[in-house]
Amino acid sequence: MIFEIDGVIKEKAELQDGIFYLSVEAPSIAYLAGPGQFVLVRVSPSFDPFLRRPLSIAGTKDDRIKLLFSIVGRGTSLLSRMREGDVLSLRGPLGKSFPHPEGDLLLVGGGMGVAPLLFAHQVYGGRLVLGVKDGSWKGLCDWVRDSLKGEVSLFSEDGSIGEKGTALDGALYYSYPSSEVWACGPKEMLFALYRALKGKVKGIFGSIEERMACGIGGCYGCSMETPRGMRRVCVDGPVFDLKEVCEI
Amino acid sequence: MSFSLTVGGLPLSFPLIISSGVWPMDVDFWKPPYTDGVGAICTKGITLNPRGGNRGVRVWETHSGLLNSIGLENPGIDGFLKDYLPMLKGRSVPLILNLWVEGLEDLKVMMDKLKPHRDEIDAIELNLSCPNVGKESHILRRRVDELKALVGSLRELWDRPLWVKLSPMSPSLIDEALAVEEEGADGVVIANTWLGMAIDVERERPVFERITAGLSGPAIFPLTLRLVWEVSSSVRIAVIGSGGVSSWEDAVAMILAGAWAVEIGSVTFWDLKAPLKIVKGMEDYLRRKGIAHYKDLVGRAKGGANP
Ligand SMILES: Cc1cc2nc3c(=O)[nH]c(=O)nc-3n(C[C@H](O)[C@H](O)[C@H](O)COP(=O)(O)OP(=O)(O)OC[C@H]3O[C@@H](n4cnc5c(N)ncnc54)[C@H](O)[C@@H]3O)c2cc1C
Ligand SMILES: Cc1cc2nc3c(=O)[nH]c(=O)nc-3n(C[C@H](O)[C@H](O)[C@H](O)COP(=O)(O)O)c2cc1C
Ligand code: FES
Repeated sequence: MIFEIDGVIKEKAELQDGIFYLSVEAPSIAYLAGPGQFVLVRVSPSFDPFLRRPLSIAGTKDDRIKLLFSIVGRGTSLLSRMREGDVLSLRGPLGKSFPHPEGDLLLVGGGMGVAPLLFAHQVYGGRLVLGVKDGSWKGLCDWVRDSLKGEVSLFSEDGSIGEKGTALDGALYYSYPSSEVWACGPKEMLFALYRALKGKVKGIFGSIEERMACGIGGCYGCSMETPRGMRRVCVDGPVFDLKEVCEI
Repeated sequence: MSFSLTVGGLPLSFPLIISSGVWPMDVDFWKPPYTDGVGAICTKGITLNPRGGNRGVRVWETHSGLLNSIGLENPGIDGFLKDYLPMLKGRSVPLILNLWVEGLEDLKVMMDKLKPHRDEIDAIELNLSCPNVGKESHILRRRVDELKALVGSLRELWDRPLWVKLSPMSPSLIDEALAVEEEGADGVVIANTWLGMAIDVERERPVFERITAGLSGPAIFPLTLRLVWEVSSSVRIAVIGSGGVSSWEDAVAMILAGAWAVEIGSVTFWDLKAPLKIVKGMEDYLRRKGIAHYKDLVGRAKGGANP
């Protein structure tokens, strides 16, 4: 069942310049959601901007869902100006969740890609590798480390936070033949991760981003070409077994 | 208060139809609560062979609307009949099959395949107006006699309700609508997306691989309203409005301009409950005005006759 409801923003925090955390009261979505699923958020009460923005569900707590987003353009900028108590129209939960893990879970996030992995960690535990660019990401990194208590390994490209390296370096370091890897980040990162780890771990799943209009499989706006034919990211994904997407 | 009316041969309980290409062909969405306020649903445009659609960016937000270049991604007629139609038997609203044909040959093959399923399809909407496939010339320079041949042949092969969806880009829309009427169709859908484009200023290139794309959403409403007004003044068959309807006021305006029913598409991206909200708004309006049936509104802005 997919709902369209008016959530209420109960908590808002700016984790670092341009990155926000929201906790939104949205009972029907919170009770049904699984890790990997997302919501389409209406960013304005008017028709401009017109399309809803896809955001991963970064966790649930009782009747609330957690969202984590960075300011990219007009929509997320408007969203960042909403306040506690404001109503937020949400469509969800959308898309497929990560399947039940069959190996030791290793969660690999690049930057904002950490959002769905936080929900995965809430449900299944496992080690989280978070890779960021530089020291400007300290706010998010600190917040993730505090929320996950321990099982986090941080990497930054310039070495200013955690180890020097990328999320991919972290994934190579922490993966074993018994690992199942769940990742989220830019498509290029996911493909590189797949090429680096294929055959060395039990499975590799990734959450993929595409532009969306309906979010429910109606408009074919989010279709992606794969070796196995066209796939709609909003209903066939956003979580894909990367084998299906990368292997010819 | 009554909303039920037979429009273009198709009995509708509400004058609001979900337009083609925006709604999943998954039966869960063809039942309450998703169909509250919905009179009928159009399928995605179905072609003879399966199509993967266009490459590159497919949807791009614009001021109060969007451009799309989907390119008719669909499972083809065989895929539709095998994988979708059986499941859609469980639906609670009429199904309007949106058909896209390359030419007369396609049409005949497709209608042969559809024949055994005649009773499972409540109406056909012949889409002569998708801007995102083939050459643009098919819309911009279509000859009225070609259109007549297509509609005439389909009319011979299909005895249930038949609507023809025309393009707002047509240089002779009224002639086309008159031709549709002459060939015996039951309704004419005015219109489809408007041809537009976008440029990615960072990449300094057009956003879409095909350069042009179709504009829809609230932004196009006044443009389409004019066409509905003009076409409904020229034909006697039912005119169904499609373009930018996003509120009950828009729906009422389009009906006052001469539409017998309206299709809504893009607004469902903004609000999944738009149909119900629009119907409720119309209901309040009719009550306030002391009008018993919405059909008394059709074309009323012209001060002329009711249907
Ligand atoms: C399934 C999914 C989950 C996501 N989860 C998160 C998350 O948890 N946190 C987060 O910060 N971001 C997430 N994103 C990316 C987020 O949707 C975009 O950053 C956001 O839509 C940008 O909107 P804007 O108006 O600020 O940017 P603009 O560039 O002004 O947006 C213009 C249009 O492009 C679309 N768009 C732009 N970038 C993207 C993108 N990367 N993916 C999809 N559509 C895009 C917008 O939705 C809008 O329709 C997710 C995307 C998807 C598909
Ligand atoms: C994403 C998208 C896909 C569409 N696909 C089709 C289609 O397959 N066949 C068709 O006849 N019209 C198609 N249309 C046009 C709509 O049915 C409708 O006529 C148009 O969008 C104008 O109405 P609106 O402003 O209410 O969306 C599509 C529109 C959109 C936005
Ligand atoms: S966003 Fe419409 S099909 Fe995926």
